[in-house]
Amino acid sequence: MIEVRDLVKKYAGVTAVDRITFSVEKGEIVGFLGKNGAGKSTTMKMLSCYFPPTAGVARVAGFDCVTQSMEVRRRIGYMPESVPLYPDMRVEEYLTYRARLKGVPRRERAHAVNEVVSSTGLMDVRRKLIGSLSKGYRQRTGLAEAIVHKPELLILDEPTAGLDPGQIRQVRELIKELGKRTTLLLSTHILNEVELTATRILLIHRGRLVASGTPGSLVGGHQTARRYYLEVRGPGDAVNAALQAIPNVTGLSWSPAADWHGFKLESVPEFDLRAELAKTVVGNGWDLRELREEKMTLEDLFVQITRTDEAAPGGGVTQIRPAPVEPAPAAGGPA
Amino acid sequence: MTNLPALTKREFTAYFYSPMAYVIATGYLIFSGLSFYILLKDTRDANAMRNLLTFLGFIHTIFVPMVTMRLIAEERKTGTLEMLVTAPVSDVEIAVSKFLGALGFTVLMIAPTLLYTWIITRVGGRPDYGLVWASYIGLVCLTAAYISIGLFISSTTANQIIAAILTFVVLFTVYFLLGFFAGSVRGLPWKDTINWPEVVTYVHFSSHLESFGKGLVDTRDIVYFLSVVGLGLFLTVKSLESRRWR
Ligand SMILES: Nc1ncnc2c1ncn2[C@@H]1O[C@H](COP(=O)(O)OP(=O)(O)OP(=O)(O)O)[C@@H](O)[C@H]1O
Ligand SMILES: [Mg+2]
Repeated sequence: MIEVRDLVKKYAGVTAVDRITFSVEKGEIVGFLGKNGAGKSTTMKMLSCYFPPTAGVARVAGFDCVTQSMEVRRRIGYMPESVPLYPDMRVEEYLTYRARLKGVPRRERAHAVNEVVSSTGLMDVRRKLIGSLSKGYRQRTGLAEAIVHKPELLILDEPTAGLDPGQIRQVRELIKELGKRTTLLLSTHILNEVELTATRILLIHRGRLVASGTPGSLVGGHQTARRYYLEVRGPGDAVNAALQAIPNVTGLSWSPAADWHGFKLESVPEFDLRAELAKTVVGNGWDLRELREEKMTLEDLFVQITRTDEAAPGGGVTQIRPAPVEPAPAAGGPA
Repeated sequence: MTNLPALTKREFTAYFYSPMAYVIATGYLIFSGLSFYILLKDTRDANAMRNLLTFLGFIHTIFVPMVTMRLIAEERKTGTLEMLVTAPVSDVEIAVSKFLGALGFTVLMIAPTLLYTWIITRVGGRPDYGLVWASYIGLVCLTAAYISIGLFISSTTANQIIAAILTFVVLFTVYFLLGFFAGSVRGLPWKDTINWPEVVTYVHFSSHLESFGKGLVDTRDIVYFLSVVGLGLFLTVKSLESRRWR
């Protein structure tokens, strides 16, 4: 559905998108991630034919975004980040007007508008002036506009930005529902949202594509170690030594406490050491209060990949140190 | 061009949603009424119409910029231009619809001034209707040219005020100031091959209004104004397309 090859966009002096290549198959829901200024909106604007790339090729449904822009525009629904609307029009009037521009035949127009009005929850405001709507309802109007002509590809730039938690959930449900019928490319800063809705993630950083895959495979692929957290009551030094002695343990940090000592452990990714760890602690007669594996989250991955000092990849528990050390920053992140 | 009716309807009706448009239309009626009154008071003859035409042409250099300033600048500012150009409509359709919408509104704004002709008859004058109609055709042609220039200027900025001022400066120059320069351009380069005063007179809007004011509808003048409209629309389309290389 989307084919992007070596796409480059330069604004006066700034390279916003730098040789991005990816493709999206029909039916996929692709989450577009990246920090502020990474180049997400710029890429989406090129795909929706707002402006052409400086270099490279972008194709939608087999049509070139520059030379066959009309064909592309007929097939996409696009909601820009700022959700621009005409404040002087009424919701229904606007949707009917846009449906007409997008080639919905006259006979089907009223039906199409009714359908999106009800699916986006705009019934109560359909006769209101857009200018008088709250941010959430404007967002929904933008969304309704994007889908009114049943596009093959839907490009949504931060569709849930600025919504309240209830509305975020509703929009997310709607997006999931839409994802069953159309191909979807959406950008967001809410990582949990991508995990819930997207079948694939594209992570861009400083205009370059740095990771792509399902949320699970991305996290798995970047997980170079398993991490565990345990709390043990016993002689700290002795526990530390015993844990270090376990085979396959590659890293350990100990935050000493008067009573319950916290340990962060890393092992090779191949084996699950939890049983081994429990046995060691209990076998030595110490008390074990907590033992859990700390799964890497998308957020951890995001932070790790987009960290500005690219020289230091990895992160997490540092290599084995004999003396008690402060926990390394990334390992203590929210689980 | 299948989207032209829908787009034009939107452009035209947008004026009626805007309080600004009513202010402009009211101001226009007051101004034109006042000038008509002054002209009529002194002359009371057929010349009144001709003078009125010249004067309205001048007033339009002030009011047309106010009508055209929002056309594209506003959409650029609010971001709706992005929605407009990513919809499956051509840049030509966008430019033409905006032109027609503004022309429709302006014609509506001019229409009440036809009442003045009727007033002439009430005060005992016998207006030459051929002259009246020719004058109005001339005025509409002139206004169409103004609008296309205003449309193009509105497409070059996101600031409506800048668009209005710039449009006024250009219209005022082409309509009025050029008249003064016709004599002083003799010395320009290539004066042997190009007759500069003639060129300036040709470009000068007023010179193409003269025959309308005498009751003559000359196709050459119509062609002239239509070419200006064409040029303005062409430049607008190019300006819309320029996002492609910016
Ligand atoms: N019109 C513009 N003129 C000049 N530079 C621009 C323009 N628009 C964006 N940029 C620059 O291009 C880069 C990418 O911007 P873009 O809007 O694509 O980022 P983004 O990933 O959408 O960020 P965000 O998460 O904040 O929306 C940024 O460095 C930005 O400053
Ligand atoms: Mg953005």
